[in-house]
Amino acid sequence: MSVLFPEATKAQGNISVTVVASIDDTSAPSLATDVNATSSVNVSCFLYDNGSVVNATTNKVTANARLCTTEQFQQFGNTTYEVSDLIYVYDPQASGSADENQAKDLLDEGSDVYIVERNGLDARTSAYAAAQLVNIYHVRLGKQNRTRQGDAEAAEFSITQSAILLEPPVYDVAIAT
Amino acid sequence: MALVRVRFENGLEGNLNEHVAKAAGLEVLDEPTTNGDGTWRPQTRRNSRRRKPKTSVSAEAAKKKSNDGGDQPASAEEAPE
Repeated sequence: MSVLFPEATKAQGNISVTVVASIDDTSAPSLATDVNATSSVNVSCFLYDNGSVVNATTNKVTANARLCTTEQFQQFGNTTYEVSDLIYVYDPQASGSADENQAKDLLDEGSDVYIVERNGLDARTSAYAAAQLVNIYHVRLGKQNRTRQGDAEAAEFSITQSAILLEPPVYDVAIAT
Repeated sequence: MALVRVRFENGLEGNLNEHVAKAAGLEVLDEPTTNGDGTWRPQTRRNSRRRKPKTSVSAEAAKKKSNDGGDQPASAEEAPE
């Protein structure tokens, strides 16, 4: 039997994130009316790298012992989803409708939005297209905290915002036409 | 700028920033963005009907079939001659 050595896919520059205001069917997001809707914003160049969007943690609990047992095994318990904070650039002096503040506007507190994440294709040059695989996270957005990203001379004005997941993530779904 | 209730291109209704709604040319609805208890209103279908999870007809039929114990006739009277 031969040993496989699969090619790894480079992540840097190849993560595209688009915030979509509404998706009718997350199992088949529409390219025209969902991903490329006029209200959608590709925030790939707004976001700072803050790791993966969602972390799922499943509790491991110890099963109850029976009178006759001398070994105890674990079981899976509840799964908790935690969304990483969204950290993105904004222009403190620009008006709300300015291009520099498109992410700040769309990610307004109280909005329910869909974060569509496409991995493995160039974020700046490769447009979304039908049949591409994406991950979808339906989140509710929290407060927009005005913060700074980076230290001292590298510091930039940014917004740090919490979000909570409203339904389980949908992974590897193909974009429909 | 505040949130407004809008109808999206796919027909669903939800909360969106007013700037974004204007720029996208979406229809702004004369409806509140929050519920009576102050919580944010979720996305809904037209006329405020709650979104229902999509169900697959074939999956539901398979589930019903397994619950009913298959397509076998329940009694001898129902059996085809």
